[in-house]
Amino acid sequence: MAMISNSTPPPRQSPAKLGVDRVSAWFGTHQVLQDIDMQIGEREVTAIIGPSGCGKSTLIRSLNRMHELSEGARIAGKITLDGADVYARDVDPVMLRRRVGMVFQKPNPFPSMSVRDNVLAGLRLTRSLDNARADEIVEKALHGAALWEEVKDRLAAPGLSLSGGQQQRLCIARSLAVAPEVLLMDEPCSALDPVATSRIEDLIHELKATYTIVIVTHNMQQAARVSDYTAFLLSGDLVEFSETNRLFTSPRDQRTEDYITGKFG
Amino acid sequence: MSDHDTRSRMPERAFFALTIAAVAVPLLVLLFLLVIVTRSGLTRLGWDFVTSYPSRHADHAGILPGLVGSLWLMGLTALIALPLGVGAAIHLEEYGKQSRLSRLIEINIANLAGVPSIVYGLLGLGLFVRTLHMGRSVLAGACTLALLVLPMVVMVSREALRTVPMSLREAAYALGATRWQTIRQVVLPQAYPGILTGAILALARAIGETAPLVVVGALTYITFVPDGVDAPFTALPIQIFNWVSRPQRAFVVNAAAGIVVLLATMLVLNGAAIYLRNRLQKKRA
Ligand SMILES: Nc1ncnc2c1ncn2[C@@H]1O[C@H](COP(=O)(O)OP(=O)(O)OP(=O)(O)O)[C@@H](O)[C@H]1O
Ligand SMILES: [Mg+2]
Repeated sequence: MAMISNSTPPPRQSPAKLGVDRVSAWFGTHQVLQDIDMQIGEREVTAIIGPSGCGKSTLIRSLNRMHELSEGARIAGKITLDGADVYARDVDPVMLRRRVGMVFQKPNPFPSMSVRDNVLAGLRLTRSLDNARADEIVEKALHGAALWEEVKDRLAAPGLSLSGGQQQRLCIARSLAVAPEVLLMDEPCSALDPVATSRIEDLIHELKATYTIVIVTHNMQQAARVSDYTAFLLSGDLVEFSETNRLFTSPRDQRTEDYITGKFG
Repeated sequence: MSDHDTRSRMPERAFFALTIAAVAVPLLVLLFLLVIVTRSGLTRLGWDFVTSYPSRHADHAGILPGLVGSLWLMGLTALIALPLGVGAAIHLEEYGKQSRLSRLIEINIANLAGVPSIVYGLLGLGLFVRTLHMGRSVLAGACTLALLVLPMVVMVSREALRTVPMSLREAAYALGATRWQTIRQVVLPQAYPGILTGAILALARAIGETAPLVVVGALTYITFVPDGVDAPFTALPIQIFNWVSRPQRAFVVNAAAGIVVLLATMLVLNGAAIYLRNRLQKKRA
């Protein structure tokens, strides 16, 4: 663990949307992240790859302060959104999460709600909503998640009646409806078949015009396809963080090379 | 091949038969009880019986005060025990998970559920009737029954809350919902059916309780129905007990008829709760 990661942040034009500055995280006494440094640019897709249990979910969950909801979870270091410390005392994690949305590994639409209500859930949960605007928001969010055409005639159907891939896009629509600036995706395709996966990948390409996206994935081809920058995490250390092209074609670290060539993991 | 098949199916069949027996035995016993009771109470069962007051003459005596008293008790008990119990469960399950104190409380609640009901009666007598000056009122009785069923309501509600997947809570948090918004709009709607099932069981237990009510001071012979929470009262099981202990044979018939009324009341209450639960579930599905 004493290894110093040679993850010099790549040069960028734009200032970072999300800054990760010497972040360490623990579950109880078990340290799962060590001194992570990353700069995530605005309207870029950043992929996090690494073997199972290396701390990808923990890292992404610390970005919107979901990490602290787990029992015994602790974090040190600094995470900034637009330069402002998100762990500062006066930051309400609830307000932060409205700016930094999240999509989970398993599609988790609210089972008691229709497709439409699922999309509106975030707005309904957190503030009152006038119905005139609701229709507009639903359509826009579902369009944004490339789901509108498939569900426009069954908005009143239960969210769970959709296929797995549709459910996942419904969850994306639900995140988009609250108009976040950043979208965190923790293995959004791992429960989906190849067709549904490629739809989501296309969607990520479209969303990137508006949102800053961080995506965790087990699938290296996927990281290569969708992301601008890739971070390789190994047992809690950020081994390498660079432009996706570069990381996959000429990795600087032997461990990265071993991983992407399938020697382990 | 087929020989092997039949052999491997033997335990399967045996187990199947066993489970059938497990269902049949209690059902048959219950059916037997119902038949006996209905047959012996048949001569007295009727609208008159339900709408009349107790009397020295067995064939005039009715169960109205007991029935109304029991309904009062049920209503008040539910009003007291459900908000308290569900509230406590929400606190323990959603807010107080980590603390050692909550673990201690959990063990104690489980223990409280096993305390004999007569002890609750004594507690009710000391606390509600005497200290809080409620007197021998239907309110004191309901408070006592509420205490009695509270541990059960808490435990079942916690169980129901626990079945709500963590992923739904996380979905709500990730959308920027506060803890309370998450509980109220995501967790509770999912847990209601389970909570309601617990409430049914708890109230079914409360309606059959006799001992604590006797201790708290339910009357055994009243010729009026309670007109408020501070009125004296009786309840179905107490009325039944009173009739059974009479030497005259005719009163035993009344007791049998009373039991049928008690069972019917319980059935109606349960039916209503199940109907409510199914409606809630349909809304979810
Ligand atoms: N709630 C928790 N409590 C305790 N330890 C946890 C918890 N969640 C994760 N861990 C531990 O933290 C480490 C990192 O877990 P994390 O979920 O971040 O890994 P991951 O890279 O996302 O793995 P995967 O690819 O399998 O999703 C693991 O060793 C895991 O056992
Ligand atoms: Mg993970």
